Amino acid sequence: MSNTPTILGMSMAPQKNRRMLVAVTYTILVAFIAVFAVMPSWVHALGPFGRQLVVLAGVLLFLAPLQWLTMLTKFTPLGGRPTSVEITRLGLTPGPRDPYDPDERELAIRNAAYYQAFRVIMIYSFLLFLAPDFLHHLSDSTAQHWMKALLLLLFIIAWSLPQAIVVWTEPDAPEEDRLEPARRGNS
Amino acid sequence: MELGSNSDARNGDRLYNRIAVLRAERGLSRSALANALQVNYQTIGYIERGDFKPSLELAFRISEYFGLPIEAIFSRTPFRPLSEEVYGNHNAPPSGDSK
Repeated sequence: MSNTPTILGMSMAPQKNRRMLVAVTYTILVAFIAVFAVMPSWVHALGPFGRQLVVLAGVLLFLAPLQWLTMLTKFTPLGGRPTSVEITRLGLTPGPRDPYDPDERELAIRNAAYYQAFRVIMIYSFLLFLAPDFLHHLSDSTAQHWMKALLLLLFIIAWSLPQAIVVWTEPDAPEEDRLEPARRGNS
Repeated sequence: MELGSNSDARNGDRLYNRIAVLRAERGLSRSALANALQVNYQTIGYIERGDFKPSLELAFRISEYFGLPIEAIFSRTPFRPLSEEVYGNHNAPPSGDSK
């Protein structure tokens, strides 16, 4: 991965560090959601608006490292910029490449990650459909909290899983690629 | 990650190329070539190693950049060394010996 960032002083170039980031992120998020599903008294005291605000802030905060890492490594969402093929069709010369624009290999990696995430979301959605049958023994309000937590998890998965898959699966850069940026000045 | 092109490469349906040789001949770094082609420098490495098959459009851009026909750069079968193609294999036994 080029332009490799560090998080809390830890380089995100080695795959094991990136996998640790994914594991820690999801562990924290699931624990965070579970707290809101169980609804201890202090969470209840926040009131409905306060709870929604804390949930939103928590999700944004805990997903931030993953978002930041994938943004920096160019796996950004599909933008409105025309591809160089489209520019060529218009008979124009493509301008200098935006360093944050993914090239065709990066797009292929990202699209494959979205496809894998889609399959997980499909299975999770079906399990979500079955969930009420397993929650019927709970009181109405507890079951409602759990359903809300499971729906929130669906939102988090839909949002972050493609990025997590990319961060998890992207192999360590070969030695020759890691040395390349140092040679840029000589090129 | 199982990309179509990568899994193809693993299945033996590999696309061979001479980009590394052409780059070395011209004293080009991967970054310089990547900047000229407007791709990530790592993508050049992936293509050189046969881990990623470029699109037809990128293959033509590479071909235009080096000023060579596309079949001189990419092949579905392994290339003979360029030196051997230019000068022939002088160490090869005479054709009469091989019979």
